Amino acid sequence: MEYKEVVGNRRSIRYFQPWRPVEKEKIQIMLEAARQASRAVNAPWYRVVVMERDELTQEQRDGLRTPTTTTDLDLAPLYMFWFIDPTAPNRGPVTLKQLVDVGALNASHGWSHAYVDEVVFPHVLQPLMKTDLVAAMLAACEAGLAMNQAMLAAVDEGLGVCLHAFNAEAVRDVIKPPDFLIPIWVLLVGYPAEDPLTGGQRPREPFEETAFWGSFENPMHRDPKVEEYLREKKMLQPEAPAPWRHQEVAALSRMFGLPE
Amino acid sequence: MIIETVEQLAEYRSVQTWLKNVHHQSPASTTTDEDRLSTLLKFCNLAEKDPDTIVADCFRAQKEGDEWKHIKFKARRTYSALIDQAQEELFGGGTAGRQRGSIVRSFFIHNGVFMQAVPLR
Repeated sequence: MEYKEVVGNRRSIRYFQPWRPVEKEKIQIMLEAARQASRAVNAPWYRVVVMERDELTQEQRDGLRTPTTTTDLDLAPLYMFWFIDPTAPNRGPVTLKQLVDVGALNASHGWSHAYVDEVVFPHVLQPLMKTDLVAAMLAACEAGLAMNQAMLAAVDEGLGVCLHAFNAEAVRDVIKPPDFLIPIWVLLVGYPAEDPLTGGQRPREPFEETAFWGSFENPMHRDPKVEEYLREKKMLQPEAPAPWRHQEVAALSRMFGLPE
Repeated sequence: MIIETVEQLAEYRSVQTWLKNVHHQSPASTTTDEDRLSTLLKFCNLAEKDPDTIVADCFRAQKEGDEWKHIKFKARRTYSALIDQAQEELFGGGTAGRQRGSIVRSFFIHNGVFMQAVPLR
């Protein structure tokens, strides 16, 4: 699938085929995509623990629930537990110098081993880690980039995905995360039981509400030609709901015995 | 409190809220209002409470200055367990029992009380 179509096809899937496992190859493809994501300091800001739903007992799965966890947790056959690492900048002296050595950070832009050791690490990275909130915020943003690439790779492989909050305490004994990691999301993965396009793209606020040129007083406007081009490439698709969506939801609810 | 007929049940505010909201959100549902009301009637009689009281049980009484309604998690869990019990003892168990249980869950959901069913799989 072309990139633009993958972006256009991504939805949060909430009805999975609970009986159909995800192939190990596809899991690896998702994690390889995450690994190639942009990352500040070229440091590993996330860790991910993958497991099949049925590796957990019903009691452990129930323990994962937050007050808003929905039934997709029971339907998805695969869980990816994502953690952020706010201490990642500690690796800066090594990872940044690797970028210097491979010609990614160059003297043309002021980069050198000495600059990393004498300026960037002591004056930027170390102070940054002294404020927990700032370090966590940065880590969450960087891990989000990786999660997004994993999700798009999943869509490209015909899978459905949905991010959820989870109660990490319930699985602490099982997955044994080191203390410095912070749980952030569980990514539910599986083959969609619903139409993978879920009857259309979800509502978004107008383009002009989020994009500006030069100042917040000057919203950007969409060029209809670009919109048309993106429709051809399937990044922009008809908006939900399709006329049959309510029937589909009713049928899925009946099939799984869920409330309407 | 025993409610004898579905007509009496339909008078309750929480029931009217439910039906209005479920019609709006699930227009393609094949469940009839007759099914909904007769199922909820049995549940209310099992709980020995009227539907408005059942919903009220799930929220803390609002105090002056409260901006939000606060859910009572323990009450929600209690009713969730009662639905599970009703599925087996009142609604015949199996798939049919689950479907009826989910009709009762729908009543809670459309009154703002989050309820989950374990999906068939």
